[in-house]
Amino acid sequence: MRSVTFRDALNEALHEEMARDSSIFVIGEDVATHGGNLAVTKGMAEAFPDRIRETPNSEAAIVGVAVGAALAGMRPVAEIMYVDFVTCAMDEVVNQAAKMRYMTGGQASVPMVLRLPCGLSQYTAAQHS
Amino acid sequence: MQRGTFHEAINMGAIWKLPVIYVCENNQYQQWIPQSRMTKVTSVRDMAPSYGIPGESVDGQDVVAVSQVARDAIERAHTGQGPTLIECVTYRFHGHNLGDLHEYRDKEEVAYWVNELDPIQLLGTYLMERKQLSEDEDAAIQSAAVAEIRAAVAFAEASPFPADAEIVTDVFTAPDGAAR
Repeated sequence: MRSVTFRDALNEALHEEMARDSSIFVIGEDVATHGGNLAVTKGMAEAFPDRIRETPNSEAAIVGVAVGAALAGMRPVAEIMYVDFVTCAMDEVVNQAAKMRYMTGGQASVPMVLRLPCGLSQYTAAQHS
Repeated sequence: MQRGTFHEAINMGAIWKLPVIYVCENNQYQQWIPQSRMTKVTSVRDMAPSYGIPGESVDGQDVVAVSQVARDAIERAHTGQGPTLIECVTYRFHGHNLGDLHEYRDKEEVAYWVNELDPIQLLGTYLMERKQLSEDEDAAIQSAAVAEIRAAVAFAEASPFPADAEIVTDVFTAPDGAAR
């Protein structure tokens, strides 16, 4: 059986899916430069130049953009650099992404992926470092 | 504009030069507290330069003025010049909620806005002065609007409450796309 790291598996899956489906894009902090903070998106900015979107340090807006894009028919993969920071975006996660389908009586759906890396190493404490 | 997402969204729109128009319908109150007590900046327009985009403040009761400001912003958006922040200064005619006792606003202030600055009446007067609307047409539009609202209220009141089972529907979408 082939053995790969989580990082390479994620990178490979993103490459395959983005090649297959043009509505998929990645959005998050530092996801293009040097292939992302944890190199999960390595090589992707070159392969998909318009679809790897680097953002300011604005977690709520990152998830908000993903929710809006998903509602409008895109398939966003939003990344929060460290899971600790998702709390900055809890309104978008809980009140928007999670409830939208119910609130619209099933008329709207929010097909998005939210990546929240954690467990990077033993040195990442309560607030990521 | 007191919440972080306002600033995050404008900053993103600015750096990406998005064709977005950010409209702040400023009714000058939180639930019960005036803006002046909770925001040092008087005009929301003045927040726009912080993000490198133009800001406009317009009389939100003046339909024609709002239209002109909006047209300029739409032109900017269409020609790749990026976002614009527009503050429409307006007023909340009623309470924040049903049962609002109105103890926090001066009665004369409310009466002034409601009686002197109703945007529908101001537009009607504007059009009639220019002979673009007759009193009969104005009355017909108003009665049609009232009829539409009454019909909507009647429909809502006549509609049944959702069945108990609906509390667990439309919650998840399975990987196969089927709703649960």
